[in-house]
Amino acid sequence: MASQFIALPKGVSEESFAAAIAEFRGVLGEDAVHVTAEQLAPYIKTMMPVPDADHTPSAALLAATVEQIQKIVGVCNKYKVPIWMISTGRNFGYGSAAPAERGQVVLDLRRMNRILEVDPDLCFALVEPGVTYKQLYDYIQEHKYPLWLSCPAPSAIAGPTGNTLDRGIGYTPYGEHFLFACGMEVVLANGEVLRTGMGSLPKSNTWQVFKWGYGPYLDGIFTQSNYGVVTKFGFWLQPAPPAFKPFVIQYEHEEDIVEIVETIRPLRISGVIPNAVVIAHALYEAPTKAKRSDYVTGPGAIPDDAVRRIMKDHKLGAWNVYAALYGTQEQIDVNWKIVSGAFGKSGKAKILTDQEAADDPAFQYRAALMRGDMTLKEFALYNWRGGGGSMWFAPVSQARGSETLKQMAMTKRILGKYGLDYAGEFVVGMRDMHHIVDVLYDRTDPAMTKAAYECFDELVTEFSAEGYGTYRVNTAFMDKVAHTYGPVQRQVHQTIKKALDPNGILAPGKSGIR
Amino acid sequence: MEMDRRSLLKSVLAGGTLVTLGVPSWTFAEQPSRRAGRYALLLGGTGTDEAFAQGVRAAWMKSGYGRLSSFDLKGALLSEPDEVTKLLNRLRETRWIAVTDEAGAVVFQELTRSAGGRLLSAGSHVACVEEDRGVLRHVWLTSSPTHGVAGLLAAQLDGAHDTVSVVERFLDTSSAGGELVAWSAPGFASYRSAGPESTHLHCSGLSLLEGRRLLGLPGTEEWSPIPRQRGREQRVARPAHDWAESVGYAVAASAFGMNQVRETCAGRAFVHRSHGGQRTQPAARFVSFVMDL
Repeated sequence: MASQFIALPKGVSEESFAAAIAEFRGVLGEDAVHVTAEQLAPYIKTMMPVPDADHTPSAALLAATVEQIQKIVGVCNKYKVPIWMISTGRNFGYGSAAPAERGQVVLDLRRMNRILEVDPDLCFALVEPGVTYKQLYDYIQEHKYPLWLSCPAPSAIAGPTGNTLDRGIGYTPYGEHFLFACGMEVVLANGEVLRTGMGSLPKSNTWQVFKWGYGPYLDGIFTQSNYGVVTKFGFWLQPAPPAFKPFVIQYEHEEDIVEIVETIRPLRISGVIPNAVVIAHALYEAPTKAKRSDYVTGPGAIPDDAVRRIMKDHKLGAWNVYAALYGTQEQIDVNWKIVSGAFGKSGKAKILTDQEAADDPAFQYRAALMRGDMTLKEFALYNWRGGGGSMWFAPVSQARGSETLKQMAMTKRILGKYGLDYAGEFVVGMRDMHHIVDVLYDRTDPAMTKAAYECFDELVTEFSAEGYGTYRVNTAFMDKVAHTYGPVQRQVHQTIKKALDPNGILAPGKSGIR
Repeated sequence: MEMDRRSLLKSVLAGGTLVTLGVPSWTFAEQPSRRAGRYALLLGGTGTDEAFAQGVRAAWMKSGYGRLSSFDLKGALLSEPDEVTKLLNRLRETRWIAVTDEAGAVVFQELTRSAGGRLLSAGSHVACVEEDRGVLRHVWLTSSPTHGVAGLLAAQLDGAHDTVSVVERFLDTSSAGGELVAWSAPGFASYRSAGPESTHLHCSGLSLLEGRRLLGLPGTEEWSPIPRQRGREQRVARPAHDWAESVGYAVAASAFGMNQVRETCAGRAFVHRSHGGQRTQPAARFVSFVMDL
């Protein structure tokens, strides 16, 4: 007999699943439980080089309240049905909205989209998981609060809860988003509701201002994990500075990354440059201005001479350093002297300010991101190779020139071996670098799709062999990356999982945890 | 109705000159059985918009439907996604036929999901040159054989001067175990893979082995020929002037319910290789959608 569902959860019979669906409908209503192919198809855009069928959900549930989620986990425990939680589901290149494993039920929290509080004095926000950055941005504008957001590249359509829980980053001084998280409400697998930190204290008004509470700090275990469903999320907002000075510094040669990083590190650690600086390779920026097919056709990675032509035609450096100064004009003037002096020493840097680069589309979107404005222009990356394939390879590096050069050369060599381009950037923390590489490939081409899979596998293998860990990865490679961190960490993750979610109903497979 | 982006956004913001309907408490997309009250073509700003739109209009003329609204976004999916959301929310009870670039496709699919849309089909389309041969590749994810598109495109391949592959995977495979219904057309030999969720493969100008190799299908699967199904040939009586136009026609014909051959399979593929003169297409890529909102 043909199934009435497009997929079933692993180990769950058609009859059990139908009974679970009936109970979900009892909790949420008919229109909030989606099971047809047409309703579920929008959740499947994985962009990974694996069959979509591996990540096809069996259903999607649109919960609107904490109480509904408590009842949903009750049904899940009863029928052993796994759910995959998404807030807005914009985790592009990391798996998007599709579940880690075929047949998992998507718990879509987009209807939980209330902005619960924005405090303009203490500069924090408390939101539900479906709130988007754009929604919060509009709210702040509407109330004329002097506050700035820190957004990732898909700013307008993504949300702070999902991005922070996956330990995403932005480009302002608050760019390391989890550093600025403060307080969560979590529905646990047994249906209990936990408020972390000061939130557990009745009548507390310090939930969003003091992170640590009392006893072990718990917020971290709910990031990149499957230990609970986060239903409220607090985080800090940056006070709007009186002045803002974005700039770009271009270098001509790939080897110049050493000088760039050695120059930036002390400025970043000392706070002269306060924001999450980006050092973007020419091919990361080129899609906002150029078409790949104008420079190269046919198979293989783009050759260096074509990259140089793109740089010349579109006024790009081999590396393009985007940073900004924030504060009063006096503070900015003092810091600008320090920054321009440091970068001007060797004579290799071309320093462009807002006035000189204002018309440049790459600078425009970078400047917008550095002030927390909404822009989707980075998505032009998806037009570079075309065909819909994208995986973010995201190893972490020390903020040391020699290390970044080594990582870049390794990545470029391995990508080149499989005929793929190096489109990478380094996002500078204080002492670390998020090395972010978009592995772009054509999903319509079976040979290139196979190559992309093998390439990514080799990248993870080679980097971990050198001691470079991946900080975030797509759902097809979560097990492999978890394995690179060794058996003890994995066992601890699994022990916590068993304690908090003995039936394994919450997002099994997330970060390799089951 | 033709509108450029500026007038589109102005209309949306004005909240009424374009559309008089508000958003009802129920939505068209939520109806289990529904018939679109309106069809709309959304052009995302790709180099192939015009050709795709010509194909859509040709299918629309044949369909006999009274009205096809057209919106030219010129890249607004990336620059003004909020305005596109407003448009989608105002034009409810609409079946959208959309063409976008890859970047726009990511945003469009997300906006429609957030708006409660139902995806009937999404196709990626690529024209490129490989080893001095023109290559056209099409890959569809389609909700069910009812909304199949690939057969409508493959039926236009007769005389194509390229190497063409068309792959379509169905999310709803409940019909796959039923009585065999297979697409057929002159010049194609058809095969099915073994197993309950079979794939149908239709080859023209190349063998089964070559076809499988071209598609990267595993060599371990067993395939058997599908006998020609008289009376179930997919026929599209129109000349294809341009490959993007052919895609537009196929996508729209499916959206208008003109797909008569609903194959009973989990997925299907069509491969065609011309042994005549090669015609090299300019490199191009775009994404097509049929979506109910």
